[in-house]
Order: sequence, then structure tokens, then C-alpha cells
Amino acid sequence: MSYVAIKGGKAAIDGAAAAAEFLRGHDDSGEPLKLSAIESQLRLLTSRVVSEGGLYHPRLAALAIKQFQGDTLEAAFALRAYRSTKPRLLATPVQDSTNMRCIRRISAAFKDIPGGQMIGPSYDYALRLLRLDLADENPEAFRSIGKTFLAELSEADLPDSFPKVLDALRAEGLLPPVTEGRGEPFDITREPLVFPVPRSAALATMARAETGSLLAMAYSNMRGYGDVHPTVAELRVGYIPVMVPHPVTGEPMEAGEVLVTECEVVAMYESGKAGSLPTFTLGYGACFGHNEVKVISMAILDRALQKGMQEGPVNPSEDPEFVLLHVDGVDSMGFASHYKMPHYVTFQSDMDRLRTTQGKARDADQAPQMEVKA
Amino acid sequence: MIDIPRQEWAAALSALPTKEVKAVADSFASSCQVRDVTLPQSGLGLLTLRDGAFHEAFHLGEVPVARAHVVLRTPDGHESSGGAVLIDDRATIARAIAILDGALAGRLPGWETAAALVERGYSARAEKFAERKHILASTRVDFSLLGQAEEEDGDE
Amino acid sequence: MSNMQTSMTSHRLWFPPMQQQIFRGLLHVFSYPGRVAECTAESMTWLALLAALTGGEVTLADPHGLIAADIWPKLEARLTTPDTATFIVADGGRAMDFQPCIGSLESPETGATLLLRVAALGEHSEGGVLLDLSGPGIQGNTELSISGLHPSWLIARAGLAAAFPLGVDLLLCDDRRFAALPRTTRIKTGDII
Repeated sequence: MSYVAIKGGKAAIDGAAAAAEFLRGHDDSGEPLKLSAIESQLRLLTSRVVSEGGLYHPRLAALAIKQFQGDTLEAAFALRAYRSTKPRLLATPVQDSTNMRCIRRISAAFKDIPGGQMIGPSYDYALRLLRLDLADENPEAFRSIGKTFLAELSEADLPDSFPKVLDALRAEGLLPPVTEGRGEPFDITREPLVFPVPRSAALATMARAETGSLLAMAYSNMRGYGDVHPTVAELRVGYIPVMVPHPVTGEPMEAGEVLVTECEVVAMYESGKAGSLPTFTLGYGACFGHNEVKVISMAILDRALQKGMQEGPVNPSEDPEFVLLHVDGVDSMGFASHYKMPHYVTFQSDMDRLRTTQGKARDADQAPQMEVKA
Repeated sequence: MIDIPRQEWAAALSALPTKEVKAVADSFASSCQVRDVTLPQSGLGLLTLRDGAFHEAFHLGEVPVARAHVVLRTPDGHESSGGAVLIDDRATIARAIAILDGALAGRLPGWETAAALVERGYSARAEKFAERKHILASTRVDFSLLGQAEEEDGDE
Repeated sequence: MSNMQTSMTSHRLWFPPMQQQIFRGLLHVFSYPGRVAECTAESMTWLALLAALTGGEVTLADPHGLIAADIWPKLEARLTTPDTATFIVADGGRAMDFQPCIGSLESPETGATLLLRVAALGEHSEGGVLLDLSGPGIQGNTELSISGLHPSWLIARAGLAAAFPLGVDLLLCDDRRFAALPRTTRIKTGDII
């Protein structure tokens, strides 16, 4: 395939940028969007871009959403481009999500879990009826939302963190053994995926995958192109403190916290390796920001890929190459978009070939008729 | 004396407006000599997480990282080292917090101002944590009550 | 030496504008082997080059102990032994006493870059050597004179010629100037001047 360089395009390109800006500015309110408004009022959209961009910077994600007028694929692309301009300073020590400062913590596997179930900020039980009062929201009413909610700030007697449901199952011997200390995790920002890849590469790839792509693949497994049959042992949303060595003392210090959504899924049990008892199979999903559908999908795909690696893939969602090479939003959007680039030379040669082939077919049609006449 | 452990000073100071933190740091920088042990840097860090299923380590993604390591020296020759690593993209605020970390750790003259700042930041963070706990407490579910009510209905 | 390095730690050498200038100079000398570039940073040339080249993701060896202790945190490079390091800084006046990494057939580019401190570059001074250079980046032939380079370095380099594309690349530095001898350059040692 060859691409054609075109002269005289600069004016048109500048015009395109101006036209896009014109549409962006075409707002009767005359008020430019504040980044804080995008970050807070559109927090789930911001979470999506943070996680697909692969960079935990909600403020910049909000900026990208504003700049690209809400296109999440372009916004994620902009974040990825931004991160390529910054030096790599460190890899953190391994963080433990048991220390998460939860704002939501539920289990579908058990009614009672140590520490209890807390729905947190969720639309799970909301009626999907449009709230027309949001069409013309009173600014004063808006500003008093926080005050109202916090008016009865109870002296909540809650611990800072909660144990993992899976740890209780593990203590009972119902889960496969852990595989701690497997060496350096795969760095997908430095190395290409050359199959077979380790599980750390699959998890890292899915953690910044495009939500819809992951969901579609996982859904195919849920609906029958697969047999994971998952139960959500635990889903949690909260802030994980990031502990790194202090430059002077070397002791772990808190550098900050990161909003993470995490899902641990228990799937059908399977017989253990020779001699050991059968155990449940597990799937795990986690990503930056608040995105539950993504981590549930990721956990199901994690389990499906484990099965595919062990027994050979029977369904597309179990095939690591099929899944991992087609879920990255920047890769897939980039390829789809490249079709808009000039392909004039290729297409010209296609037209020439078709005309020649049509010509030959016409000649072949005429030949037998001549024989009949003679 | 300050009760808050050193490992939480940076997080506490990050909860305050950066202008304030920088202003107090600047006052130490003018009364002491500040030497950069490493160049204050801002860049990226890979966030490594342990998966809950098999306890394997994987990289969840990248976070902005700013870090600094300084040595403060008072006019009478007393030295103290300070450092900070932050989930932030500003090397300047990392350096300011590193200066305060050094001033406080070494009890350099004026350390009480730095201590007061850390305590205020700690309270601001505690408020944020209390809000989160209120979210949890107000959405707590007790499924076992559901089972009880069914039994009672069955008895009637 | 250590005091001079210490006073350099707040120097503009460590900031992007100077490092970009130095990097431009490095591109020039590697593109045109044998040409000598001026180092405009007011510091030792080899240190200026290291400041521009190294960072957290490279390994650096210092077998002759040239780098002061307080400079290492600023370079951010990881200290390793000369046989594995990406960059090696050494006193070119001393005999070569280590085996640098020369790369592999799959990755010949992983061969080390050696920064050698010499007495003088490009001046016809006593006890120096005149090199006749040809190859990529050189139109025909060019000459480079070096004084204060122990003969063992060029002998070792000649010994590696048969291993091409494996090998090492040399960066020679005096107080003010630097020049490059990448492994693609052919050297004929001329007269001792």
C-alpha cells in the first residue's frame, strides 16, 4: 500500500482545525467548560479516559475530553501521546489493594462478608427515568448538594480498609495456590506482545483496553461462546495509597493515592493437578478510575484466557492473540482511521485491474456467439 | 514534637494549597542553603499492583511522579536531609515538600511552622477520609435482615 | 577534582538548554567522525557529555574512579561493571584494563560507548598520534591528532574490527573539545608527532 503526499493541503488542514474549533465554540451559553466540571460532573467519563490513556492524571484527561469535544478514543490517544514526552522515573514496589480506602464494596457470592457490604455511589438500583429537573439546574441547589449529603456526617465507626473475600475462601482451601514471586512483570509500554505472553502482559493490556471492546468480548463468553459462569466474589472501588521508598530514609512513604476499580471473580471449579483437590477457578480485573463494567469484563476474560492457554482456545474470547491484539482503543481506532488517508495509488491500480478483467470477460462472452454465426 | 509519622508528611502537605506550601518552603530556602542531591524531576512511574487471584504482580498503568532530594544547611553549619516522592507532575512542589521534610526532620530553626502545616494538611485529609466513610456508612446493606423478615412473614 | 565537581552541581550543565546543545554536538561528531566539536559547558567535557547522555535507564561504569560521589545521584545512571555497562568513562591516558560489552549479533547496538579522557584533541602537540580516518561520514580521508591516549585503546579497537558489527564506539574528550570514533570508522595510525 503506498500513500501519496499532496501539495496545497496546508490551507485545508488549517481550515479543518478552525472549523472544528468553530463547532466547539458554537455554544449559546458562551461559557467555556471548566476542567473541574468535567472531572467532577462527568467523573465516569473522565475515569474512562484515564484508564484507556494508561495515565492516572484526571485533570489532563478532562482537558483531553474538552479538546477533542468528547471523543473518548481521541482523548485517550492524546493522553498516551502526552506520556511519551515524559521520562520514566521508577516502577513502584508491588502495591496491595487490600489497603484500598474503599468507597464501594460489594459481593454477589456472599450475603455476609467481613466488614460488610456498602453499595457506595452507584446507579445499580436507580430507575432509568430521565430527571428532567437536570435540564435547567438551579446553581444554588447544585452548590448545596454536598452540604446536604454531609449534614449528618456520622462518626462512622468503620475501619480504614477491608479484608478480601477471596482470602477467606483461600483460607478454607477452596482456591488454587498463589504464584507469588514470578519475576519482573511485563512492561507493555516498552516491549511488544509476542505470543505466548505472560499473564502480567494480559492484565496490563486489558487494564488500559477500550471499555466497549473488552465488554463485547466478555459478553460473547457470557452468552455462550465460552463457559466461564462467573460469580463476583468482590467488587470494590476506592483509593489505593501508593507507597514508595522515601529518598532519605528508604522507608515506605505515601506518595499519593489512586482511584481504582477492582473485581475478583470465582468461576466453575476444576479438578486440581495430579493428587490435589479440585478448586474454584479465578478471574481478576482492575483499572484506573471508576469503571465497573470494564473490570467485570476483564475478570471474565482473564479466566477465559487462562483456560485458553491451558487447554487451547475453543472460543474467540479464550484466544490470547484474538483478545489482546484487538482491545486497545488507540491501536484499533488508529487503524480504522487510517483508511481515511489517501490511498489513491492503490485504488488507481485496483481500478485498472478491474477494467482489464471486465474487458477480458466481455471478450470471452463475444467469442462463442461468433462461432454460432459461422 | 510532631505526632504524625514522617512517612505521612508528604501526603499531608499535598492536601494543602500549593502556594502556601511553597511559601513556607521558600522561607526555609532563604534562611538556609539548599543543595539538590538529585535534580528535582517530574516524569512517570509504573504502578505495580498485586492481583487478587494469584498474587502475581502486574503494571496497572502509569502515574505522574515528581521527586526531589535536598540537603539543608543552616548558617551555623547544621545539616538535614529531606526528600519527597509525589503522585504529581510538578517537580517544584516535590522540591518544596522535600525542603519542609528536611527542615522538620532536622528540627531546623522555624521547624514549628512546617509542623503546623503538616498538621493542617493531616486534618484536611482526615476530613476527606470522613466523607468517604460517610458514603460507606450511609450505603451499608444488611442482607441478613431480609432473611429474618421472610421468616416472620412465613409464621403468620 | 572532587571539589570542582561539587561546585558544578547547581550548574546550568544540568538543565535542558545546555544539554540540548551538547546533544547537538554529539550528533555532529558521530555523523562526521574525526570532526572536533567545542563543549560550551563550563565544566569537564566528559562530565558534560555524561550529563547529556545518561539517565535512569542506562548503566554506567567508572573503572578509574573519575566521577565524584555526589555527582552519581545527578546522573541517575545505574553503576555497573565495565563488562555490562552501556556507557563507560575512563582515563584514556591509562592502559585499557577491562573488557567492554561488544554487543550481540541480534543486538550489535548494545555494544558500549566509551568516553575517554585525553590530554589534547586536534592540536599537533608533542607525544601525540596522528590518525588517518575514512569511512561513513567522512569524505575521502580526514586526520585527527590526539595526545595522551594510551596505545592499548587503539590496539584493542583494531582487534575488534573482525567482529564488526559487534564492537564499541569511542568518544574522545579533552578539556574543551570532543570527537567520536564510531566502530564504522577505519583508522590508520600515522606517525607519532
